[in-house]
Amino acid sequence: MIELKNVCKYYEKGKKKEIILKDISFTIGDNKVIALLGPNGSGKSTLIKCICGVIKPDEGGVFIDGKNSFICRKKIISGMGVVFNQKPSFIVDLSVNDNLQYFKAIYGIKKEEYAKNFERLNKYLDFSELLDRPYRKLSFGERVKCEIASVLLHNPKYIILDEPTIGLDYGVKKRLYNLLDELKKEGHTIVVTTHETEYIEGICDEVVILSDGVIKYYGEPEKVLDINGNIKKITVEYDEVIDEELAREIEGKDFCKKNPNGLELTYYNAREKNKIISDLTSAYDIKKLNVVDTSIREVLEDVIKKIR
Amino acid sequence: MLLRKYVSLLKIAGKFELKRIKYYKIDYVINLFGKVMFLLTNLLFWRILSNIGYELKGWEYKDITVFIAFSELFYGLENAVFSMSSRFWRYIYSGNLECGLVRPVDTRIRFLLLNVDFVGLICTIIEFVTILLICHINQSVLCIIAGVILVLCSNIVLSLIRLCMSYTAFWHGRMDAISEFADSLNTFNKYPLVIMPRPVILIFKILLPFYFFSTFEAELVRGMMDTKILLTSLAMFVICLLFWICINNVIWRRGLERYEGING
Amino acid sequence: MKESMVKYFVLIKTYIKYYHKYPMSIFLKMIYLPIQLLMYMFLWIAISKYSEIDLKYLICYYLFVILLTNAFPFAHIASYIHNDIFEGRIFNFLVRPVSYIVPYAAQYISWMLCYSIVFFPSVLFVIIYAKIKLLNVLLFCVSLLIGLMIEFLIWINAGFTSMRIEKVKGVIMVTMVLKSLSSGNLIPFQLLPDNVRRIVECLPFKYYISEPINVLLQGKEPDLFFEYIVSAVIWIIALCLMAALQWNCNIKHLQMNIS
Repeated sequence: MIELKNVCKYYEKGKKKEIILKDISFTIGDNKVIALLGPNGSGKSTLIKCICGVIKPDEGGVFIDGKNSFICRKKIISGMGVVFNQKPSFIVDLSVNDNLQYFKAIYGIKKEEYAKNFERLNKYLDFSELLDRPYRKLSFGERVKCEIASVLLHNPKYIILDEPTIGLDYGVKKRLYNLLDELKKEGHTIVVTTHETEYIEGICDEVVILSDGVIKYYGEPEKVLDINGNIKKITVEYDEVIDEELAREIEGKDFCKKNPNGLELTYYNAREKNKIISDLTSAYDIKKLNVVDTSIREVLEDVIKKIR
Repeated sequence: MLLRKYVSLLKIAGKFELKRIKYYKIDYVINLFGKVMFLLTNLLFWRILSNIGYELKGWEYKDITVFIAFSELFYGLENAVFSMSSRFWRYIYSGNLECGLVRPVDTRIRFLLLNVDFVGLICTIIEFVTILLICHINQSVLCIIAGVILVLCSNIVLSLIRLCMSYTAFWHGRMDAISEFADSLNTFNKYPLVIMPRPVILIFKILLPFYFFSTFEAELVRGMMDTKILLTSLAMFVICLLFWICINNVIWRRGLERYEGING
Repeated sequence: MKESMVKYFVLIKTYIKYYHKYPMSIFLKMIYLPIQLLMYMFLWIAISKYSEIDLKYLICYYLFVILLTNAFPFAHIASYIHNDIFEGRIFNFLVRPVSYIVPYAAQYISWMLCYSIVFFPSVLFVIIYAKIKLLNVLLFCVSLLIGLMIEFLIWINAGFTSMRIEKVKGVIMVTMVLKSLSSGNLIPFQLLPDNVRRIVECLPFKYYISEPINVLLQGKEPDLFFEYIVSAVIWIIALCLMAALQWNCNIKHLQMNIS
């Protein structure tokens, strides 16, 4: 279990104190996947580093299985797999295979375990073709794949990934999240920072939204819908070109005219739905009508946009 | 368990070195040539002085050659094993330190072990043995082994001093100048430190280990000091070593607390 | 022409601002340069107790050797070029409207300008201590400028070999050893045996240390000085051509670091 208790971090700029994290408290239970979201500069990476014990919080502390992560970092770190955003840990002039052998040595991974984990990771990340190439001659995305593989080889209990999907193509991103899902089922605890809310649905148990170093939301992704309003969308297409006046007359919120024949409306209150549909159908003949629940991803993006 | 990990790390680093030699053959050949030239230049310098008739009191050319042997051993070990300690600040400054902190091996040891130049190490040993054989030294092997151990220990102390200097990057960021300054400490291995005044020699024995780079070992092998001075000097060296180990650990821990991490 | 000159001045000004941001570099030089000088001084003082030597000349000589050798981390020019090539960063420079060498040259010039805080007081001290003629000082300035250019070009060439052989640790080592012997860094030329002196005088390393220092301390006849300038300019042209040749031939062979 990872517990954060009143974690605060400041940077001193002369006489001023710049707050990076303020009173961050939450708990990550075992076998959970938690996503840290937020706009740029919200303190996600700093929080990740506090969790890993790399940075000492100025107030409060992070406790992993009851041990302070900064003080007991050396004891805890063997059970962790961490990838930092754009910070390579490979030796650049050696091949990928040599680098993986080096990680095998430092984590003390046995041969059989290494072979088994390698096989599994290769199935998801597909990096076996890169083994003989020097690391410095790989593309950015290929390097990211190798970095992720290197931290998962020793089957760590805690997996911490700081924006792991940068540079990965769509297929590999999807497979990576499938891998994380599988690891979660096996009992690993995963903390991911990401700007891609697309994959959060169905994988993440909890979401933390940070802004200016403060938690704006912490909880299950589905509950964001309740807190931020149950956003619904209606899209309607007419047989003819519609008048601008019509759109203004309809009492919806955040509507937009998609094309000369169509409208898209967003509303928050379910009771408004019938009135809106009635208004829409009264003026012109409808060709198509669609009522759509917005996804959690859209809600989260909306929330992040608002707090930016 | 930890020792086994470091030994396996060293073995892996050795394997990597062999692969590097295969890949960068030309550079290694030129490097070897450079090392030979460096040694010849050093020998030539003292030969010239000797031919002109310039002398240091109490030091004949044979004594100077023994000094050169230990001096080369010191340089060789320093370049092959400990050269990166004055560059450690870059690791801190660039923010790459965190990649090392999340691995189950001490970052500093990992940093040094992965940069060990095994070829350089082998060349150093060959050079050292060759020079001693050329000198026709009739001294006990025990004295020579003691000298080698002392050179290794003084390298460790110098490396600790350089690491301490590198740690200032936690507070002051870019430390290019520190690397230059730390590297320039090698100058104290250029000539026998008997040329220094007595108070300076005392400082170089107690506080800073410069006297033990090669001057002390040359005197030991050539039998130029009595037992009392030998034991007192060794005691001073041990104090120096323990002092720098403590300082190093204290500054490292303070630095880690100060570490901010960059590129969020 | 005017616009491209403005570009270079802006670069030089930027680097000067950068060095002012880290004044520790200059400050530390003021500490460790005297330490280095003391080593030479104590050696020659120890020797002078039992042998006849011109101690005054040697003190001034080694003062300048220390000042000039440690003026700039020359080997870093080659190692930074090597890092750019090795890690593929060189391609960032190819898509900019400025030559690859220009930022390095700007950095070099701006550092030397900052370093003059340490250098000029030392020159003044020697002029007063050794009673140097004004003409010698002027000739010294000219020969030093030429020497600075040659030294820079030597290390640029050493760095460019990285385009062929990738790692240049050996090349840097050989250049440093050659420099220590044939620049007069280790021992003044007049103390070298004749056969060794004849060889080292053929190399271009003397133009940065030995020649300027001897011009300052001992002066030079006008016709000899003219000959010296002509040979130095020939070396500058040769080194420029070598660098250009290396660049043009090897840039095509450079393997891309895909990133």
